[in-house]
Amino acid sequence: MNKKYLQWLYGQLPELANKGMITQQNAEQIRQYYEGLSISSKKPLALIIFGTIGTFLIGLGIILLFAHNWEQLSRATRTVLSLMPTAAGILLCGWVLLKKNDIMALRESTATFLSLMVGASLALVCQTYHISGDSADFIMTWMLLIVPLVYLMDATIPAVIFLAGITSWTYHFWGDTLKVFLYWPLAAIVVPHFVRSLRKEMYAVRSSLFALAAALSVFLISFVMLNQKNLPGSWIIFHSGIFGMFYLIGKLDVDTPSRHWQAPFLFIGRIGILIMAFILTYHMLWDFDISKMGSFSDIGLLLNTALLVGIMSIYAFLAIRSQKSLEVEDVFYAALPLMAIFGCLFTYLVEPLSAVPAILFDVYILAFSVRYISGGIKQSRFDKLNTGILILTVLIILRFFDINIGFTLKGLTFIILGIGFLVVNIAMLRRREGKA
Amino acid sequence: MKNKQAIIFFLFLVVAFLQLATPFALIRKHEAILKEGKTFKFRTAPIDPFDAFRGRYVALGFEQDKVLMPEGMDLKSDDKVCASVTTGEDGFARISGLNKYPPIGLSYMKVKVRYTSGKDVFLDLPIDRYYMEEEAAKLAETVYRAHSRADKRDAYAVVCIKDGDAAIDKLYIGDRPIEDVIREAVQTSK
Repeated sequence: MNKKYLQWLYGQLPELANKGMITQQNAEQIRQYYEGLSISSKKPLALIIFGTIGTFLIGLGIILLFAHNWEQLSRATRTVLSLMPTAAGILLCGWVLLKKNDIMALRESTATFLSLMVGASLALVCQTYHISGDSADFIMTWMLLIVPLVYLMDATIPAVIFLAGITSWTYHFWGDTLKVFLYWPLAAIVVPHFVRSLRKEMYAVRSSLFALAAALSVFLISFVMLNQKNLPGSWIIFHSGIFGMFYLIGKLDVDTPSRHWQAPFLFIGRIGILIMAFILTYHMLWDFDISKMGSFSDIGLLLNTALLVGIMSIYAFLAIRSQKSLEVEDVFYAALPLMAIFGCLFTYLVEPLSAVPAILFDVYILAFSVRYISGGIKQSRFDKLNTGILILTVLIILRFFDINIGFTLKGLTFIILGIGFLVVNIAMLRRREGKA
Repeated sequence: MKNKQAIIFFLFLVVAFLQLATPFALIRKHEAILKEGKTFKFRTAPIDPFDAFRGRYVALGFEQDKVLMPEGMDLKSDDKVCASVTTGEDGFARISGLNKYPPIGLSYMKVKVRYTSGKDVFLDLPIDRYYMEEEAAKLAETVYRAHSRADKRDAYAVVCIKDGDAAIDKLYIGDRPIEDVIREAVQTSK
């Protein structure tokens, strides 16, 4: 249950009672009803968490036991034992579907168990018959066999396992754009489940977990997705676009029962934007030349371009949709992809390996930190103030390692920064105590 | 609602069948190779890596994984070819040729080109691992090293080949299964 809405409701009840719209007794009954709901909603939540962790551990334990190798047994015995984990998982899931389909915790835990056991069975058979073949085939077979469980059992953990599996599968094809691109249609298989859980779920755990897995998965495949040989510098736009998109998803004002699912996107977006901004202050990273771009008859280049256009289109849609609800700090975060595009265009069209884009990002981070510091002082918020000072400090440290400055000057600067950090914090603390 | 549940359960049964049928199909295929395939002895040179997903194994390298580039063929890394397999005078397997298509009348393995160097083609054979119990796999490497000196290269894998597919039956050290050699080595060390 969304705490924000509950707090609002509790705040409204006295006013409604005072105006005679409801009696005091009604107000108390409404309060008790929702308090009971939020407590009881934690029970199945705990069951889901512990049930899933329990079956996950059992599944992992079984896999590890099998990895120990049972060479003392005959091939026939090992063959039968190889199929038993999957058979056990199927029986459990079948029983849940027939008799206990309304208990989410059971659906999640048995589906997780079966998902792991399918992998265990395949691994055991490979071990028994010394089957080689690369792990990419093994992973893909496993993932395709378990993905239907996401919908048949209405379970999220198998979807998370699936995302992890296809992400690791792409790493076997580094540089092979066509193969890596298959990630997107594969990942799309589990998106309807996520959308459905967002719309109907009172509990945030499942959709938050999926959101975290999706955000991490997209972040990880971003390193293998682009072929820098045919589109130099594209990684800058791609990563900036991904993090900008995540940030805006995190800030989107949506009408879902819970908004906790947005937290992983916001967190990864924020961290990613800051790290990218710092990285892009190094001017050697702007060393790419549009004349080295591949030919558009190359399918890899077409796919890369389509990917960039797709990411930036989603970013633009989210930015337009969110423009009224974004505060000034949000605009700073969300502006990274636009700055990245400007920097790349400048490098492509004006001058490669120019210091201009790098300096632009220096100014961007400086303005960012000043905004945070001034906002923190005005609102008496230590978290904002110290975040701003920290960002500024990191920028100065990075530039110090860039430029040839003597130790004395570096040391003095750090001392001044440290003193400034302390003075501002103490001043704000006194100001706050004075107001109180 | 009941109809929907019935459909879901039916689909679940279909998926369950596939989840069991996939490993079963692998088992059936490899059993057929071991029972009906032609047997060859491949001289090996094992090393010992670790595959977290599938257990500990002895990685097998083969003396026969290098062949000359056939005339008229221009092979590159990751190309798939058919390697004809015959038995040499010493009783051990030889790769006698490479073809794009299965050769008629000869046993062959489907292999991948690892890389080429000049006129030499280095192959990835589909019989590159022998699973053993963890501690045994470590010992196997030590035992093999003792049997890999130039005067004592007597380690080999017995492989069955059928219709391009290959399956390892056993790994031998000096005409004895490696499991027996390891067992004896363990008992001797105690």
